[in-house]
Amino acid sequence: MTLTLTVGAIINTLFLASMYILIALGFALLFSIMEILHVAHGVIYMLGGYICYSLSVTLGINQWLSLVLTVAIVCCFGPVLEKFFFRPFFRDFDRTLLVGIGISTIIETTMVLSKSNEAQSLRAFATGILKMGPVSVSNERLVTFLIGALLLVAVIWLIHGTKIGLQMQAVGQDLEASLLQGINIHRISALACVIACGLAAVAGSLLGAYMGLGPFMGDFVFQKALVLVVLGGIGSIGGIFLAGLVVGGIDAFLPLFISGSAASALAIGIVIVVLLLRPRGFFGREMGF
Amino acid sequence: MQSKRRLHSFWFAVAVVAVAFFVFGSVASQAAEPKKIRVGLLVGLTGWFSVPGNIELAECRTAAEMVNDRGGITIKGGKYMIELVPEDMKSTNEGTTAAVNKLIYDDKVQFIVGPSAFWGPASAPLCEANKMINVLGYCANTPGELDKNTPHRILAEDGTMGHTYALIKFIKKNHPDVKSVAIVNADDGSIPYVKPLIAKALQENGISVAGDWVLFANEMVDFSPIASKLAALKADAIFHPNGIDRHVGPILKGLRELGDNRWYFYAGVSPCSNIKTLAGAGATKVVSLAPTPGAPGNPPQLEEFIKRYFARSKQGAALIIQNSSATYVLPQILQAAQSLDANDILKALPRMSNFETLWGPGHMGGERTYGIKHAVVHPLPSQYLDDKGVQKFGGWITDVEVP
Repeated sequence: MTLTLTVGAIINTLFLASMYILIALGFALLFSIMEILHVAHGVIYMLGGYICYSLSVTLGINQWLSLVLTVAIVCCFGPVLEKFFFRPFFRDFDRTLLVGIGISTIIETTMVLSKSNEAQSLRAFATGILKMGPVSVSNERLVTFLIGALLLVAVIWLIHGTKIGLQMQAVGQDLEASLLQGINIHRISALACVIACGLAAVAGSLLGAYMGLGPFMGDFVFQKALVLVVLGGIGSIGGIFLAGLVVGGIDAFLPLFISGSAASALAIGIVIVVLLLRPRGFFGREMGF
Repeated sequence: MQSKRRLHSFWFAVAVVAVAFFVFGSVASQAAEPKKIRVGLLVGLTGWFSVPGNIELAECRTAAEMVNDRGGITIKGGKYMIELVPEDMKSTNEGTTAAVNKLIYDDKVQFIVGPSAFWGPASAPLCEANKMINVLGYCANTPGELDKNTPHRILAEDGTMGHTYALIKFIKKNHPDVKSVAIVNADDGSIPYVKPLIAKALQENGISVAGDWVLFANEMVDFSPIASKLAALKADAIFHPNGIDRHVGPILKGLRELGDNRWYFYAGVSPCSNIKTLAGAGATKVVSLAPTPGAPGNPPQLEEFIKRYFARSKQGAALIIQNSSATYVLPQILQAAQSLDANDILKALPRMSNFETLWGPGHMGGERTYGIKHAVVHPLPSQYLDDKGVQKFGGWITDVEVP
């Protein structure tokens, strides 16, 4: 493998990892705090992309302002999801799973009926190419990576450095003890939903510009988020980082050596082998449902 | 006594008139209302293939409308209209099989149009077992798509090989400096079968293939590794035999990001406008075999089809014209056979040589390529984005042959 290919794959790993982690963090928050396998997370990501498209391309609003507005709009879905779809089935894994599947199906079908016969993509958030010797990387990818990295730092600070973050961790670790400490679990759950929706909206907008939009773009993202959370270990933010790098690396390097569909199959095969060796993932507690 | 007889005669006359009225009335109403031929349509309305699938649904409705507005099909003096029965094949093989099952057993369709792309093998066993005439919108050359074991199938589109032959002709005519290509394609199961055919066709035209084919999974989302692999191959241009805009756009974008500015020859029918949407600023120097509305040499039926389709969808909407061409060709097959019976149609098929496709005049071919002479071969148009990203019409490739 040439130097250019290797450096390109490393850049690709970082780019993919930042996006995967961004999506998986929100998913992991919901999983840890509310014990919800939020299968509609991918759909929220897709909606983020389409809302940003509607604001920036259809309405002609500045692309960056559109991104901010999109995050604000999609964050509003959080309390709605929490109050009307998750709270009635709090810590009821089966029913929340079904609710999530229902939400996904309804929204995806609606998007298919209204949007699916058009190829759509957001404009790039940055143009131009940065050349470093034989290696070149687009500014769009760099900007996407930087935004992703900044948000990750912000979320880590929120979880580990603020009172609300500590409350979130407490709810995730022991629900009854949290209640006894006077933590408003519904408020914390709603906040987790807001953060998850916001992160999904950012990822949907950034990747919607880089990879294009489609009603089923969230399916791929949901798979990745699930893999990262399980591989990283339930409840472990550090684990998600490591899993993001591993999965991003697999996705960036494997197609260079293995052609076609085999690369996708082998990628998930590697994840299964890792889980067989470390059933709790890299740093997490074992799944208890 | 006489009055009784008169009364009998009167009632007899009334009965005769009533019977005559009923019989002639029903005949007259039959003549006024043509019968319907239920044609199942296999399209991917959900899943990763739903963008082209939904375009195809609108296109097929347009083609059926054209046929019906022109008076439908006349078979042995009887008038028939096309009634499309669409079924979602869910962009998967198992979805395709389930859709065929429903069309045949629940919807009781008489013929099936589609699928396009490479879903053909999934629909073949049920269609053949039920002697269902199935007109395909595309063929990617995978086993079971179109061969001696699928006698009830007719391909109404050039397929991967026809498109490849056409694109090679385009390259020879417009880019004679291209002597080598790097090939990229979806890993759709057709590779072992099309690879030798495409290599041979390129070789016969003095074009060599650099390295091994770069393959990607159909559902792939991030194409950066594919672009990196292609960029590392030393060739004059990129050649992409079969795929859709969702593949071409991101690969092209990745190539341009890496500073690779070679021509990208794409044998599919996704329009350059869609590729441009997905590739953004990287959309330059790419050729597609998509039609261009209003272009010189467009056949009148294509222009009429585009006009009607735009009225149905929206002005400038993307065109594919694969299953819709099959919808347009099927009535000609039935009319030529003068029967709706599959056996009669198969008997009459060898006598049918010329068809009017939406792409222009078509002729039967494909015996050497598929092992069965059931492929309607037709001309193909071309369009491209120049080095500034401006879309231009590339001319018609009229002498397409699928031997």
